[in-house]
This record gives sequence, C-alpha cells and structure tokens, in this order.
Amino acid sequence: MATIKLENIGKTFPGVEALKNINEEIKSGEFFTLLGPSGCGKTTLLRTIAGFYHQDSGHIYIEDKLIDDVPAYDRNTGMVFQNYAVFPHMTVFENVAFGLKNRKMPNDEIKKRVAHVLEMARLTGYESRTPDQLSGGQQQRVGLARAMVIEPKVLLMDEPLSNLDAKLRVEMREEIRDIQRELGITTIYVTHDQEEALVISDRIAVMNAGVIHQVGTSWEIYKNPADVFVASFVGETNFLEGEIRGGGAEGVTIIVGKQAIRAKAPAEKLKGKNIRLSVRPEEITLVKNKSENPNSTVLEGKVIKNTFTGPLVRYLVDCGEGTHLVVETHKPEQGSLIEIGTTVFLNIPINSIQCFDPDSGERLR
Amino acid sequence: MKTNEVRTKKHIFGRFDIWTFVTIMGFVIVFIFLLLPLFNIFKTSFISKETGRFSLANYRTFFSKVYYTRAIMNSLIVAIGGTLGSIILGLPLAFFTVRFRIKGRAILSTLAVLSLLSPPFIGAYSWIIMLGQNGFLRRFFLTLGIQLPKIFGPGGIILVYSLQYYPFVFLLASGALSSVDRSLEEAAENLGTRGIRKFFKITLPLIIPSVSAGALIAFMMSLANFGVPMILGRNFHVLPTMAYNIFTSDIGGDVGLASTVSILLILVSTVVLFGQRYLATRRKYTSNLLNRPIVKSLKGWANAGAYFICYLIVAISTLPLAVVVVFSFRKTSGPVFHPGFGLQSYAKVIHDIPKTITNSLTYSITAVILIVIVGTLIGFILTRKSNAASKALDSFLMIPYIVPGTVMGIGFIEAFNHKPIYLTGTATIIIMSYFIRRLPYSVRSSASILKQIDPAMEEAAINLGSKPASTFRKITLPLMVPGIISGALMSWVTAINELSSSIVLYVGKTMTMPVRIYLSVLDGLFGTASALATFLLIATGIALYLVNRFVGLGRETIVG
Repeated sequence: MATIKLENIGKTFPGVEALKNINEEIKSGEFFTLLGPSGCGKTTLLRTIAGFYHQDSGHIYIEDKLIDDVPAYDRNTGMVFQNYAVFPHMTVFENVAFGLKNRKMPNDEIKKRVAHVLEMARLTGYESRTPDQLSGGQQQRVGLARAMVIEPKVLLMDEPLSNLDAKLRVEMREEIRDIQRELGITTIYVTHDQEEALVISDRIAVMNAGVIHQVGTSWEIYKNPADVFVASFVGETNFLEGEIRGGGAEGVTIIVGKQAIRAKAPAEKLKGKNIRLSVRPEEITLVKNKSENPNSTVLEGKVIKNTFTGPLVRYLVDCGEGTHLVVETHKPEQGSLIEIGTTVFLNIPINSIQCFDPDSGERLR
Repeated sequence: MKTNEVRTKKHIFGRFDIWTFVTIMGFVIVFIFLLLPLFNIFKTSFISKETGRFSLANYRTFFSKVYYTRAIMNSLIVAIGGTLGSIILGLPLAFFTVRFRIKGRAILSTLAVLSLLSPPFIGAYSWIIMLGQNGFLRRFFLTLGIQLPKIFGPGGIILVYSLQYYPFVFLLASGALSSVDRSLEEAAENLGTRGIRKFFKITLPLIIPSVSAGALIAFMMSLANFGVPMILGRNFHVLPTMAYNIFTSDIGGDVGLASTVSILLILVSTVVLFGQRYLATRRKYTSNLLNRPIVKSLKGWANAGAYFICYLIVAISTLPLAVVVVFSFRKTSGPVFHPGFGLQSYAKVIHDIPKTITNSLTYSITAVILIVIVGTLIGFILTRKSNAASKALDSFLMIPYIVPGTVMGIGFIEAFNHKPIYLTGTATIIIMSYFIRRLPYSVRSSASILKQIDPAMEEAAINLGSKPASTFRKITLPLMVPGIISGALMSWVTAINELSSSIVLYVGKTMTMPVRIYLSVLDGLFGTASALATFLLIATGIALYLVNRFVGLGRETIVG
C-alpha cells in the first residue's frame, strides 16, 4: 500500500506533447481514475508510472522513493491491460503464478497464494484451463488475479473493461471495486467512460490534451466542474451564451436571446460582458405556468422532440432565438409523453446554473 | 537541465543491448552476402575484357548482337506466357472451388501446392518423358493419328511455367474470393446485374489486387527460372541461361559480359516489381470478414463442367510428378528403359552418388538453421524495435526478391574467389547462397507472426518482474514457434530443391541432388534423374505434411 507522487511530469512524442507538467499526489489505498477522451494522455501517464515510457522531465515517487531509474520489471506495479494480455500458451494457474516464479518464490507458497487470489477472482476450478477456453470476462479476471497475486505496491488498470459487453462491464466494475476495497491497494484506473469513472472512483482526474483539468470526487467533478471541458465531458449539459445585464450578490440577470435568465456570478466584474451558462438536463423541471419565484427562472418554450428511453423522458424545447434546451424527467407529468408542438414552461433553479468565461472556459464564481 | 542530459546519455548507452547487436549483425550479413556480390557484378559489368579498365564495352557487345538482345525478348515472352497461363489455370480453379461446392477441395489444393513446391526442372524433364521425340504420350496420340506440338522451345517452357506457377494465382485469388463482401454482389444483383456480367463488373475488379499479386510472383519466378529453359530451351535462350552459358563457357567464360546480362536481368525484375507495386497501391479494397460469400451447389451439366475443369487442371499439373515417380521404378540399363519394374535406378543412386544425397541434406539443413535463427531475430527488431536502422535493413532485404539465383551464384563467385574471403568450391558458399536467398522470406514470416502477438503480452511479463531477455524466451518465442517451424520447413523445401545458384557454385565434391538431376537429364540418364527426383518429391511431401500439421497450408504460408 503506497502513495504515489507525480512531480512536473512531461512527455513528448514526435509531434505531440502527450503530458504537460503533471503534478498530483495519490493517497495510500485510494482508487484514483484518469478520465478523458482518447489521446488525452491518460494511458501515457499510466504507462509512464508502469515504466514502459520514460518521462522527458519530472519525477515519480512511489512510497516517497524516487523510481525514475527503476526499470519496469523492478517497479513492483501490477498492471491490468485493456485486451487482457493473458498468456495464451499458459494455463490459468501458470498465468497467475508467472510473477511469483519471477520472484523465485517456493512452490508451496506459490500454490497457496494462487489458490487464494483465484478464489477472490471467482476462478477456483479453472486452474488448468487455457485462455482460449475462457470468456472475455473470465480472461480479464485472470489478468486481475495475475496482477494482484504479486501484492504490488500499486495496481495500474488500463481500460480493463472496455472490451467487455455492457452488462458484464457493470458487473465487473463492482467486483473490481469490492476487491480493491478489501485489499486497500492503491489503484490508478484509466477510462474514457465517464459513468464508469463516477461509479468506481474515490477521486477522478479529468484530462485533456496532456493536461489535468480537475481533480476531485465524483460528486465534485459532476456537480461542480472547474471549466467548460469538464462540464461537457462528464455527463450531459445544456450550454447557453448570453450577456450580463446587472444584479447583485443574490443573482445576476443574463440575457439569452430575448429571455432573461438569473444565475449566480460576480456581477460587478462582468457587467456588459458575454458569458457561457451550463445547466444539466435533469436540473430543469417542467412547471404548469410562468409563476415567478426568487430562486429560479421560468422560460416558455415549445417541445420540438420527445424521446422515451424507459426510465427517463427527454424533451428538446425551443425557447426562441435559437435557444434549445434538453430537459430530462423521471415521471411524465400527464401520464404520457408531451406532444411535439405543445407549449411548456421550464423551471431553472439559480443554484443549478454554472457560469464560465466563454474565451478561457474557466469557471466564474 | 543537467540531470536531463545525463539521463539522455545513459539512455542511449542503455539501449546498446542484444537488439543493437542483432541490428549490427544484420547489416554485416547484408553487406557481405548481398551487397558485396551485387557490387562485384555491377563493377565487373563495366570492366572491359581487353583493357581491364572502366568501359561500356560489355554493354556495347550485348546490344550490338541480335543473338544477345533476343534473350531479353525471349525472357519476356516466356515470363508473360507463364504468367498468363498461371492466370488462365489459377483463376477458374479458385472461382469454382471457392464459390461452388466441389468435393475434394482440400485434396485439390494440397496437390496444387505440392506441384508448386516441386522443382520446376523435374516438371520440365517429365514432359520430355511424355512429349519428347520418343515420349510415351506422343506415341500414344500418334497411334490415334494426332500429332502433338513439340515440347522443346518457348511453347514447352510456357506450358511448364503455367502448370508450375498457377497455384500462386489460385491461392491468392481464393483468399480474395472468399472474403469479397457478399452484399456487394447482392447489391449488383439487386440492381439487375447477373451471371458472367456480375463476375466481370463486380467480383473480378474487387479481386484484381490479389490476382495481380499472384501474377507478379508467377512472372518473377518465370523470369528468374533457370532449369526449365536449360532443359527445354535447346537453342532458345533466356537471360538466366545466357548469363550461365557465357559465364561457364568451355572456351573461357566471359565474366564481364555475364555480369552485364545479370545486371539487365535485375533491371527487368526491378521495373516489373515496382510497376506492380505502383498499380496495386492505387487499388486497395478492405474486405469484410463477417459477410462472406455463400458457397453454391451447382446442378446437372454446370456441376459436371465445374468438376471436370477443376480436376483436369490439378491432374495435368500433378501428372509430371506421377510420371517421374513411376519411371524411377522402371527397369533400366544406362539411358534405356526396359519393360517392367525394378529398383536399379535406386540401387545405382545409392551406390554411385550417395554423396549428393548427404550433401543436399546437410547443406539445406545447415542453411535452414541459420535462416531460422537470423530471420527470427531480424524479424523481431523489424516489428518491435523499429527505427531508421531496422527500416534500412528491411529495405536491403528486399533485394533477394529481384535477384535470380543464377545471378546470385555469379555474384558469389566474383566476390568470394579471392582474399579476404575465399569460398569458391566450398560447401559454405552453397549454404550461404541458400541462406541469403531465403532469409528475406523468413524475416517477413517471423515479422508477420510477431505482428499478431500483442505487445501487451510482453509488457505484462515485464510488469510481473521478468527481464527483457527472459520475456523473449518465456513469452515471445513460445508464441512464435508454430510460425517459425512452418517457415523453417518452407525454407528447407526451397533449399533442398534449389538449382539455379548451386549449378553455378558447385564443384564435384559439393554436388547436390538438383544439380545431379539436371546433369543426368542432359546425359539422358532418366532413371537416375527420376530416382533422385523422387527423393526430392518425398522430402517436399513430408515437409508439406508437417506444415499442414502445425499451421495449415494457408496462402500466407506458401506465398510468404
């Protein structure tokens, strides 16, 4: 169980700056996720920690020990790969025992440890199978068992679930989370799936173009995004652009098209400037009429699209002047879908609106 | 800043590992056994026989005499003829066996591969047994009042090439035909295109890249072949036989002129190879492996016709091999066959020339061991340690594809008959010629096996504490083994059947089976030739059987 410290990590591949000055500390026993779109540098960072790449600048510490010059085979990290990388010419037992044999462990001890870890991975009885006799999910469990049996200081997981089908993915992420909690092993997990990241992580680092945009708990990342990138990448949101007219500490008025929307933002600094607003579809509620309320804005609009997804109903509402808002609701108000063309009223609470600088993308608080 | 510099230095030093050594070794091999011989040929072609100085005299001599220039034309005639013949035989066979339910498909395909891998010169002299002046088929047809065309000359050579090399077109076209997206053809039918028109408008254009790749191999093989025109050509000379005759002429070989002919031969191959590459890159279609074409069952006359064509093509191409085996068991005394069967030919071979058998075995096995070791290592650096040096090495290793065996033999003699490397007349020179000519195939095959092994597999091993060398031994190598074995067997088949460079390099004590067969045919000793050829065919058959056991006789295995 160990802490990991990343200090000013930089890495450039020909033509791409993959990592730009990464600084982060990962706590002992933490489940830490690197989340971002493909090419954002998350896998590069993971492979740098594993020792498959060497950073151009900066230092990596595991348990406060500098490991920059420690070769990959001596770093004592356990890695789980996207495409399993289970050795096809070895049985399940041999796969799991591989790392222990490299450590010259006595045979009795190897047998004991392999049996234990296979039980944890629900693979008891599969010892003498070869990988081609296993399903994708079972192969990935072998990969996980193989990485954990060596009792690594850190567990590194590179999109371990992305090759599995949707249902299995949900099951496996729970299993991974349970095993990780049980062992309390420091884990760095790479994924591009924001839902997976939100469900599984203690903390998430949202990355784009080689830079960490925000680090925080799932709640913080989703409810309190640091910038436009995080707001748009994690979850779904409505963006609106408008001009600040005035207001005070309790809220500012922002003119979007012909509508006025109230939100919380530093009014004095920004008066007369453009601003970008973000509001999540599930924060907007449908109300009966345009009754004003000090804590929210009510907009009038027409339904132009309605979608039933099972648990949710989604409406696309045209509020005029090109302002389109997506609204998500759990229970259809009238017991059925609202027809296209119907006039509706949208209630947007002041506290649900986040304001961003439209040029830099920074959050305005 | 300073720490960074130190690290960079250390990094470069750290990279001087076993793979750096392999790269350097690769360059040394390429330099000594490939570039040096070719450079010698190139240089000699520009040295005048009279003055010993630089001159264009050899080229002038060549282009001033129709006797010489006609060889270029002749080479092109038989190569193009052989290629067209290969397409005419290979394409229908591929179409019928892939798209229609033909029973015995596996047998047909195995026999086609067997005839492909058997030495062409065996086919050539077998056709003499059948259709020569006194050939048994000729006599048989004469009794029916039919005069068959003569086997000597360009017609016979084209016949043998077509029957020898059509499996290249067959194998490549079969692969393409079985992976053409079914919905494309269905779309054509839906739009009102059917039957023959659909084949020529849709199917054929889609498989043209593969067919042309197969045709190219057939062309290069026909162009480079030495044994067939030597046996069937009589006064019809092509570039390889011309080079050989000038080089070994009884009245003092003309090394300069032979080198000139060699250079021209390399030039023709190069132009054709790059021409095909250029055309092929302009047409590339990705195929959909999920939506494969349906295999149809034919009925009535169409069915009988398809069966007849498929079995006829394969039967005719296998016939020469069967004839050789049968004749090896005929009673003989000297050059004359007698009615009935006996084992005199084998007794004679084992009694008189056992050395050629042991020579062939030791040379080919030694060469294969070298090929496997070096080819696997170089294949590894090409795929896993790709850098400027390994890419350069890869390009150099293209060269053997365009250098015919006869030319390589001449280059070896010119390069290694004086200090610092004196190898003329040794077993080493023959082994090394096998080695360098087959090395690129082995490099390619080990590289393509490696491409199918996920690098994550090796990373997983390293991550679990295994060092690079032990990772290669425990993970990479075991996964490569089936591919390496089949590659080794294929190399062994070509090495043991090799004639065109060993005919230039052999001396009495280093004679191999193919050389002995060729000389026996020239002396009219068909019994001895047949017995030795049967040995070679058995060796080829055993190797094929083993390849099939390990990886299956796919098109990748054969075409490389």
